[in-house]
Amino acid sequence: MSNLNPDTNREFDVIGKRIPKLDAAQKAMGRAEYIQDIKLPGMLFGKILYCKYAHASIVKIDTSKARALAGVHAVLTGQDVPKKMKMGFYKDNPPIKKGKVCSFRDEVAAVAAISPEIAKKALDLIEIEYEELPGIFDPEKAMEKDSPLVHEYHKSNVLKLPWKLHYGDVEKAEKESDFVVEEKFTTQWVTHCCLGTSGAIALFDSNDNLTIHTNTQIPSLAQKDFLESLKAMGLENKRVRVIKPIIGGGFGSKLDTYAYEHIAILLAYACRKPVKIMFDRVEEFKATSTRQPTVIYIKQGCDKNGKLTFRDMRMILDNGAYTSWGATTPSVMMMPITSLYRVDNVKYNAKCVYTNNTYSQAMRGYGNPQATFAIESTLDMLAQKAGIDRVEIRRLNRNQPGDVTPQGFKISSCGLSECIDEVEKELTIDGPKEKGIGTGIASLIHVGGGARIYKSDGCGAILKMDDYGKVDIFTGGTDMGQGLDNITAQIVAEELGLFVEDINVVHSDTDVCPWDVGAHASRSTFVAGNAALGAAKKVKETILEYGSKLLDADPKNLVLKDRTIFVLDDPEKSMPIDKLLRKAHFSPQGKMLMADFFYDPDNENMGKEFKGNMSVTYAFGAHGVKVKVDEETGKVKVLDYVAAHDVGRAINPLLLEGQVYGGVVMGLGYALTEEVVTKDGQNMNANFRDYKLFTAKDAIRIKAPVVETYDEYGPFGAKGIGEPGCVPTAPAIANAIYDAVGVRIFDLPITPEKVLAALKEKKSATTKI
Amino acid sequence: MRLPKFNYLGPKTLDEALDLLDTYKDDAKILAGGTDLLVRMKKGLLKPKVLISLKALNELSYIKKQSGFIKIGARTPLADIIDSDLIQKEAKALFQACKKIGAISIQHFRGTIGGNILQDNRCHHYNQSDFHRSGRQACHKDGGKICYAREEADRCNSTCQSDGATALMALGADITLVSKSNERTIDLADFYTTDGIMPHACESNELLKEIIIPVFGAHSSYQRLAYRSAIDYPIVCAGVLLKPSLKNEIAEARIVVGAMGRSPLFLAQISSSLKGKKLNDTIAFKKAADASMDSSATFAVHNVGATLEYRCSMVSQMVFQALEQTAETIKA
Repeated sequence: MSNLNPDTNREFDVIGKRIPKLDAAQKAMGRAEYIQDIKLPGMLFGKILYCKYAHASIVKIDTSKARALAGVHAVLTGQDVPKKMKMGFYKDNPPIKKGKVCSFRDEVAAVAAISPEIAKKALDLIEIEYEELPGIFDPEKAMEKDSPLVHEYHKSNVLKLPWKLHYGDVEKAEKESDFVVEEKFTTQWVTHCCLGTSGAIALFDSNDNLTIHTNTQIPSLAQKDFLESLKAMGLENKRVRVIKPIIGGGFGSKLDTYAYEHIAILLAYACRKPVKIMFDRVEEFKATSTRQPTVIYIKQGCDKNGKLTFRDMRMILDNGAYTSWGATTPSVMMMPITSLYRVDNVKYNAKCVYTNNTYSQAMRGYGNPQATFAIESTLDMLAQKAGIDRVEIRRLNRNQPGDVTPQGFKISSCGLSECIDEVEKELTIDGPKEKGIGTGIASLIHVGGGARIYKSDGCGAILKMDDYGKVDIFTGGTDMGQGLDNITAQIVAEELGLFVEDINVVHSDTDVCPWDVGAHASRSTFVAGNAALGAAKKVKETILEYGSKLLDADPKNLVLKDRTIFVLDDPEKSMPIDKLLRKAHFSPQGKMLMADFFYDPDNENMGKEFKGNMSVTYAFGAHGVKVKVDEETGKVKVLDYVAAHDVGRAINPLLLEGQVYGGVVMGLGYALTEEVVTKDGQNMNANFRDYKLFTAKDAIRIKAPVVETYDEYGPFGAKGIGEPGCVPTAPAIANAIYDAVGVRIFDLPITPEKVLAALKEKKSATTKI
Repeated sequence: MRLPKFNYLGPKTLDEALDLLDTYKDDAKILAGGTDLLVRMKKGLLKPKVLISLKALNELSYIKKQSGFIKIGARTPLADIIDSDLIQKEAKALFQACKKIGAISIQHFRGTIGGNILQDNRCHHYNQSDFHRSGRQACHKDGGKICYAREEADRCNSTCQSDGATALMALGADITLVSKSNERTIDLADFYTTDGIMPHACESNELLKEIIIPVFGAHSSYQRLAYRSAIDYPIVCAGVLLKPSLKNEIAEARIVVGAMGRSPLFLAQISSSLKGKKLNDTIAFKKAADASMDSSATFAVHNVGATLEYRCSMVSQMVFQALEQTAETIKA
């Protein structure tokens, strides 16, 4: 195991401890304030009218009856939205549509009223005449020449995005390969299912500065989006304050700004009152974005020893009618495609295609689960073809510390080999099994030390200490339930010799917290953690300086521990830290201790041909699963699950296990049950009864062994772990099903009917022979 | 989504409840747990002016054995049925069915057996939000003239997905309906109208009072299929009852298939084909199971999630498993 970090063998007081989530009790007791609970004086209630067609021209809108309704303060249509107010990085999505609608979730009008009931009534009074247009719902059909266009001005349904790379020589490598597997895979729409539904409250002060309370994972980037909206509204040089209340789940769903936020801003400005828009569950299902569905064509080859020779992948992504981060998931799919296992010759080409379906967004793993499903499924097929053991082929091709992958990723620490060991320790992958029972294994690579997608991957932290030995730390990082509040407090407490309860973590308010690119890419522990550590180290230096004078000792010989500063080789010589702070404050030219730190990891934007070290370090893992397949019904039962992860160091094993358990269960839903069912672009299962999220009764015991590789760049050696848990779950399940009953499913989710149909097909094929 | 406005009435006695029901009739709905009713109200599928709650009517919560019959009060919580030794021994199919309803929390805190029997039929085109339905022509069940589940169908094809009803029909249960002026006991099989819009033959002033299960030395089993272990309604289910003769042959059989039509389907002919067969005659079981699939397939439409093809092929599985399990119990 690599052991680069000087802190490895240090005894810790707070790091590595199972400290429950700091706000767990208030959440459990119902005291946490979510957006649902926030009420501002004079607040109005906004509601959005969605369209009733997948694709239609708006012939006429009559809002006169809605405007005349008592209690209604404003009614907006696409005509009232400034021309330049558009959302998403492709800027193709106005918050209220004008002229035509391109999907069922298109906003066509919005209302602000004194109560939600009146707002709803006003929506019912808006009369719209549509002329239905032919819709296109299959991305491959949408690429055909005579297909209807979703956006005429774009001239083609294929987005102008550059997702294409070729390293080495794939054609040559394919010719020289001894074994090649070629397959097609498809993956479905799934959605985040945040238990807290979306919502925002916007209000303007008398100088037209905006404050918006909103469920977001990106306070700083959302601030930028809202500033652009204000500018489009003619409000230049105004201030925007973004405050995120406690949110009930993010999982990537809140990485972009949504129409409802911009509509709340427009309504608040029109009414000169705070306006709140809250989603109900149906809206949450229908009007928030999904994981990107894909059609994947993959070819993978190896030599006679099982060494991977090339990987050639082509994807078609259903973009939906508008563009959000879902269309950039190929940038992260490139990571497993070029760098999961050692493979020199790689080719990848992805096309995002407009359809009249819902549009996709970021979701835990950001494209990685889709790509890994195809890679790890075909790796098993390749092993079988080459007559090599499934675990062996993975060991043979594993990534190793010091590797530089074809995409230019510098693998600093890598515990993939140890993760595979852990899986084998907990689960016999190959061995005698009962009928209908099988095991599967799949690995993963993910960014673990930030991800330079945006121009900056930085995060700021400001730390101040009071007269009582307590700390306030203002972090750019966002806690969305994943536990960044704990991680920040533990890092600061450890560095300053304090207790976790001495640390108050302030986050998610752009007026008081420094900049951060957002809670995404499993980066918060690493990047926000390093920012907090940097600020703590600066304050610590000052404490040691004062301590040196007060205790008459060399600062190098001073230790902070148990709220006390003491001399290492003469522990009798000590002083409580709070006393030191008061002595520093209440003396001539007194000083209060504070520090700021901005940490921007030393990673690279992807340059020419998408090469560049995107992350400072990479997270690895291997999952093993045992399933039982009922050959009469096709039902798959998960019997045992091991998810081993290289996490650098577990700063809080309790929260880390929580992330892994949650990730795996999300991955199991992706593999087996979850799917947004649509009929001609319309969501047909917008509720928790018909959307098959795993229930508590379906969840299984998961073993989550932790491999600690102590990454030299991570705070106390840690890497990210937010997303990896759901990355290799689907291929592990698919591989286990194949092992159990000899059928392979290429299309997620793996429902009982698909398994049964495959079993029947196999049976009839055998009888024919 | 919020509940629409309604008046809540909480009668203290059955007579009081029947008086209220007689007064409000169609304007009222009975609240006996609400796990089906309140969800439908939130979706705007139902807008009763009055809810008459049976919360205080403990007189309708009982399980007892009386002169060869098990009698169950309609408001008995599902958890009580699951915990009852009597039900576990003498009406196993019902025990198995109740264990599958909703989730443990629903069984313990809300769900009642009467509510489960009276749950409305479902269809994934109909059980949608107000807004979803407002964007299209109304279907039969929604007051219109078309069916989205089966093209050109002249009537509603909604599906009865009650676990309890399928099991009880297999057990040959009767139910007692009571109104202010009348009380009648009918075969559960006759309670269904085969009209998907109003699936139950229940007058607007009538209340389900009691479920009566005959005990006559028969054994039963209930099998169902769903994607998840909780919350899901069955996509197909089967209840089976077998009475052995002294020669250990089948003296009487009842096969009921659920979640395939507008009501649970009692397959009388296929059931009687098992008469005289041995308890270990798996070939006869398989034949009956396949025949059950063929006859119920004609009733089913694609409207509760899984593909129609899959549901049809699973009828045979569920019936076969239920027959096998019942035979096993008898042999044991």
